[in-house]
Amino acid sequence: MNFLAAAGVAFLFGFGFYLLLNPGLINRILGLFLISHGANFVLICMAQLEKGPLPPLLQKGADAVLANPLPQALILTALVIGFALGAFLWALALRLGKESA
Amino acid sequence: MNWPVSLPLLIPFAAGLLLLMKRENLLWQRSVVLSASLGMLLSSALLLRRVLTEGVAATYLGNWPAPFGIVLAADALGALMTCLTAVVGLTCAAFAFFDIDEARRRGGFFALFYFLLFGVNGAFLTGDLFNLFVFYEVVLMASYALTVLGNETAQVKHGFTYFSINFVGSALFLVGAGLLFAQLGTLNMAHLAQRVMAAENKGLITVVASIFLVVFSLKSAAFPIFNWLPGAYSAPPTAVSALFAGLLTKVGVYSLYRVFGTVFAHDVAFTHGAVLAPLAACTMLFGVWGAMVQYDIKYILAFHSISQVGYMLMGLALFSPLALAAGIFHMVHHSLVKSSLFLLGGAIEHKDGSQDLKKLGGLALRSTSLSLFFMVSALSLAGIPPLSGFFGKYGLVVGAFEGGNGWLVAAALATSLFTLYSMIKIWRLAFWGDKTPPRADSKADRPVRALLAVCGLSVLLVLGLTFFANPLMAISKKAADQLKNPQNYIDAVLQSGRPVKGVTP
Repeated sequence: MNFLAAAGVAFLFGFGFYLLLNPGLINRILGLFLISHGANFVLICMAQLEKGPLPPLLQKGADAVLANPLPQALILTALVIGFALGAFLWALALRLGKESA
Repeated sequence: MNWPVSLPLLIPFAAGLLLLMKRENLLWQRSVVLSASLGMLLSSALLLRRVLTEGVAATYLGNWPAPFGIVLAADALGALMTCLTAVVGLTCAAFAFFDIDEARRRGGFFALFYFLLFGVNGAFLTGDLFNLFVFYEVVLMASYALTVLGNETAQVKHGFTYFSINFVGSALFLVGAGLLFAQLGTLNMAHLAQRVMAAENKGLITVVASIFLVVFSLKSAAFPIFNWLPGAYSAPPTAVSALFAGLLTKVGVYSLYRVFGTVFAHDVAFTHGAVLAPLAACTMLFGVWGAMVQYDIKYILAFHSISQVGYMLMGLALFSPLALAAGIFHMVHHSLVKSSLFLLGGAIEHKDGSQDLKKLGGLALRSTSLSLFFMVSALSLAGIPPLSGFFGKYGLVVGAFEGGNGWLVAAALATSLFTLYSMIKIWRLAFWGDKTPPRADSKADRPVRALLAVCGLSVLLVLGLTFFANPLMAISKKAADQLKNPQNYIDAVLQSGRPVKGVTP
């Protein structure tokens, strides 16, 4: 599982940078999005991928291994910021595309 | 809630919200900006005084105890930088009132301006690595919008480059934060510093530290990732360029100081000596070489911003108390001088309709005050004694000799010489000669006198730095001591002043 996740991260970053360095506005935008998803994927990997730890909901008398909820919170924040940036990016690209057309 | 620590954040945020309203009402915008600037000056001065007398101050948002909740912490470095934000913000906002056209003002220029200041102050005061990321995004989002506000072709073109490279930087920042969290299980900087010291596998931490090095040197435009800066700093209007040059790269440099001073100080010989020092030398030299071949005042100044970042990195790379203090002093000096130079460039553009040295000439004959102002700032940037640039550079050179890094001294002095050359080039081409360039430009009718008054204020600040160099150096030394011995910071954030239930600290 860890190996698969690492391969996924490598693919997202590698292909993202490949697209970013390609000419063409759409290529670059897609490249940026792939890179940002790569970063989010890394964060997911930091919160336990293996089976075992339980969701961090406390019950009476439970002393199970709980998953760390912080990486999920970080991803949520990062996603929201990424969404705002993405909206700005599309607007900017639209303006830039009109310029070159 | 610890008000002195949170006010420098709350004031610009509230001002940004208020400025979003009534954008067509000049009086409203002016009064909000004026009161917010004064409020920021007062609150950050109070914070600095408090930090200097009582030590590191921390506040816990929502009263959650330190390693779990969000914490704002101000040490001498952070408090000093908030004062800098207030001062640079004041002069740039004053300039913007006479410089920014109505379309931009209606587009929310001043609101974005204050959101940017909010993000900058947040980055200076946060005690949490992930919050640093969030404040970075606040700064960047405001700066993206300010870069392209006005919709000129050059702005959009350079704005896209600026956006792309910082977007990648933010992604790397996230990766770094994730990897660090996976290894150490915390993102609170004081807690991180503790755990880095106690960590067993220090090699892995150095690897993560290198990711942060890439991220922050990208944001502070250090070698080799500085190509985005000249375009992004020269495309927007003067007030924005001056603000960016004064504060944006400083946020990157401050983060480097904070992260590589407080947190990643486990392998100084490698991270600082072997990696940062050559980077600093290359940043100084390549930046100034870029400036020497340019013929546009804005481009020249933007390239100088890069080379001056090299000096600040040099202070961090040497990592001795004297060199750190000199680097911090240089940060303050450069913010004031560079924003004043950018403002002067803007005043020249208003007077003669261009910032292209090939079209300018004879300014010394036509405007004594402008030439005096420019001379003071330019010589100060080059570091001619007794002006303020000299003290920082002197401290850095002495620090480098003490550390046995003669080659860094050579790079620093050569950069100084080249800086002087390119300032003299501006002086020779723009101020000497008897060419009177045509003023046929749409901007020529705006109030040059008022702009000159604002420039005079900024130059006065530069001169003030010269006269009050000793107190500022004392504060810098204190900040350097706190960076060098992070135990105070750790204690203040993690233990003392921890909120008691029901009692507002």
